[in-house]
Amino acid sequence: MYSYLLDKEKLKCCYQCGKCSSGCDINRLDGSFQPHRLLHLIGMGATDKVLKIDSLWKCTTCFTCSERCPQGVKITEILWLTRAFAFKSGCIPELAVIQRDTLLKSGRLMPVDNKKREKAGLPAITEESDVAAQIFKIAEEKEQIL
Amino acid sequence: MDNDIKIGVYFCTCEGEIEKVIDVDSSAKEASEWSGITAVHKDAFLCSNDAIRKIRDDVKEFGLDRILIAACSPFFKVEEFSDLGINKYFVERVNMREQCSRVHSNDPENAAKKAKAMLKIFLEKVKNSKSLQPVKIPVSKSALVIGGGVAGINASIDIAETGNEVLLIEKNLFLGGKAAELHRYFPRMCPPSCGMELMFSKIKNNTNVHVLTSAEIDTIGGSPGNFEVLIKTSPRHVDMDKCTLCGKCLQLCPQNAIIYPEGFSYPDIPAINRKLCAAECNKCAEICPVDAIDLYEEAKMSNVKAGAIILATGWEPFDPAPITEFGYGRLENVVTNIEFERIAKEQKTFFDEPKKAAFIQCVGSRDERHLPYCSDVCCMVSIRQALFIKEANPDSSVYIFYNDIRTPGEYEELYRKARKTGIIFVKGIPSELRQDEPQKINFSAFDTVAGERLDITTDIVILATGMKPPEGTPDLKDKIGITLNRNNFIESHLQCYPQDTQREGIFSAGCCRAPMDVSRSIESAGTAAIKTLQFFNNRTEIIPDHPAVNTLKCDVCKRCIEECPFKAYSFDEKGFPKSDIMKCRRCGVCMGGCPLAAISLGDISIEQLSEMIDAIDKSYLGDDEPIILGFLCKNDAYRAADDAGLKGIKYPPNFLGIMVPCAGTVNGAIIAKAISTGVDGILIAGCSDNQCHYVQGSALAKVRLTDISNKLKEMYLEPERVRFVSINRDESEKFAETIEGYVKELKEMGRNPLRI
Repeated sequence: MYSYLLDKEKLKCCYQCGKCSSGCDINRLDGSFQPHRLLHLIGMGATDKVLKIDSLWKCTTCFTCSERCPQGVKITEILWLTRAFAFKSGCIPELAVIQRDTLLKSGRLMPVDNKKREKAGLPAITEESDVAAQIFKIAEEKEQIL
Repeated sequence: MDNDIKIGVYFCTCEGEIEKVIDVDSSAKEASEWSGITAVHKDAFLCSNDAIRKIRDDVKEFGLDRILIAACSPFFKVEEFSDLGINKYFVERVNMREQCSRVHSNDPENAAKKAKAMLKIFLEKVKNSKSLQPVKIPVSKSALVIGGGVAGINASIDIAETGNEVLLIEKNLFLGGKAAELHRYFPRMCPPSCGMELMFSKIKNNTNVHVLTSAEIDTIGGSPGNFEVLIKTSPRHVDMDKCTLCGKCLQLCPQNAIIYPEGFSYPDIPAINRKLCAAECNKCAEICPVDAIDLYEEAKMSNVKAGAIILATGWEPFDPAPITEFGYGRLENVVTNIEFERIAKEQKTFFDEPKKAAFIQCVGSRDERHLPYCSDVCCMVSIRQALFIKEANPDSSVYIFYNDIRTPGEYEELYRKARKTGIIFVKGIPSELRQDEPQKINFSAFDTVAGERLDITTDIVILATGMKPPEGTPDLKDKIGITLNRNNFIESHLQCYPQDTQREGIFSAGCCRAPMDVSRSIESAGTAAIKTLQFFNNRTEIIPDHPAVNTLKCDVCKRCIEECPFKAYSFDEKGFPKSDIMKCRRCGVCMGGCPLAAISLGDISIEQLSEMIDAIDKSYLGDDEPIILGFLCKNDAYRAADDAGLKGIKYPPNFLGIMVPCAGTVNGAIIAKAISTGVDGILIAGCSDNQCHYVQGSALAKVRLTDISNKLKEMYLEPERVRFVSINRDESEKFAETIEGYVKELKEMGRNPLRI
């Protein structure tokens, strides 16, 4: 299924021109994230290796690379899929697990630091949110409709 | 008629090659008893001079009307059997060696039965053949060349120097095209003016070349050999014969409206841009001492006759503005390679100080959203331009950001030189250009080889933009009826006939066919010129074997007009479709497509095929053996079948092959007839889709066969009884395997219930 989806996204058309990495803002900040390299490895069939590369999770999905790719490779989509696949196969970076748990627990991506809030003169947040439960409920309803 | 005609049947034993499998003597004996057979003869070498003389004597002695030759494939010994004393369309070859004796040598008994069946089929074919005499068609031996760039000029000179008239038309005011705008040619780095001047002097000195500038095609009519072209000439406002180039008008004009010829131009006569003229101003016309200026000159239309047309409409540079991230048009100092060529040529001060320059390759080219193809020259152009900068000032730093460097053949030397000179090549295309400080361009590029990001500030960025077909190409296509490929270049069978368009008598040269450099443009102009001359020579006598429409049957559905790949059809004076003998390439796609089977090629007609099918003894191998009738395309499948014979590959004798010009020639009515008279399986073998010499013959055959198999299904017959298979020239094994498999399948299917 994964390889089928990748084919559809024209991965094999990549010429390795590097325009994606040249224009990538994350690459500017952190040279270890190189979309063209990830694409190359995925194209070579070295998916197992790609799943374990931490930088896979650094993409902000700004779509600049997809927009500008001369071969029309849907780079962002491919990285997205790869992440989903990595998640399924258990290759999850620590941070992503924390983020997931926080999101499910509080509906927030970042854990709340009440000490900092106190310093800033803001009231502490203690209550747990049911946003996640609501989202799941909506998703279930949608699934039924579909 | 059948009773009156006298037929001679000649058998070749090929020094035992045929005889060791088939008993030729008994075949001959049997044949001599058939009606209409006047002479029967057997020879060890039918292609020998003695045997040929014998046939010619027989023709005289018995007054033979038709000749059947049972020997090797019709593709062998063509010359020997070409003149037997009767019209060559009255001679038919039965492929006894390659498609019978050699492929069935393991089964002599059935091979003899097949040989008899084959003889009967082709006897019927030759009985119903028509004599065809070449007709003379006057061809106007003058060529029209559209486009006065390097390709057009060279094609014109080539044709003119062989003594034929040429009319060269150019839409701009001066000849030379894009090449004239260049600063230097690669690889020798000489200025184009040098070569151009030579070309222009050849044009001037050759009375066969006529040049029309600021002229465009209005309409094209007539047919190949005799095109009638209406040309529209925009006014130049300066009389070319009178002007002496004194330059008085130039000094006087307050609006700079006089376009004065530069150093080397043809014609070297000024022109006036009326759009710039001030109202009521008439100063130049007044001062002209020779009265050469006519400000109120109007566009002229002129009618020209031409035998053939060469399209050399050239190219246009790609406009990089749509690739917004490169900021072309928005940022200062971001220029295209064409603009940089002008800087190199005209702004010598640019090179005074060391510069930091960057070239970005493949701008627009090899890009799915713009030009999907490689523009062929940009790598060499950028390297050349980088060398201008580096050589003018060795302290300059020049970067070339590339995707792949393509410097084929000798041009590799240029690349090596550039590397030696110190030009920095970076594999990695920048993503966007910025202007953080005035007069500078900032960008970053990821060097994919080093795995590192480079942040660069340069004085100038040159975008290596590619070539695209001129804007007017689709318009030209409508006027001339040529076909364009998906990138709007003029389509041709690139591999076999690169210079031919899909229309007879129209050829293409230079970049309108595909992106190419100057040297290849000149080469292509040469081939187009040669093809034009060949066309003039070969078309004086033509065999009228082009398709004829039976107007008694035709209901003017226009399918032939629609499907003809070469647009050879038009309506005659009575309103029926008629194929043009000059435009037609004898593929017979119309014959295969006609719903009423009303179209027949001169050398193989619907009636003939129908009689041939009638003549097949459907039980020639016995009641339980299926038989397959195969229609084999002349270019590929029939030759693959011959190859099987040469190699001695065996296949069952259940197969009878008939040669057709193209898979698309086979009409549904013929297939229906074969099935309804008891043929068990029909095999149409042609080339693969994209290899068809007649563009879409195979594809159409496939579609038509699908329709027929659907009909068979409705009749509760097995749809597999008809099938298309693509067999390439070199696929003789596949051919044999196909037949073997098909016979097996048909055996399982059981015999055709319609066989009596």
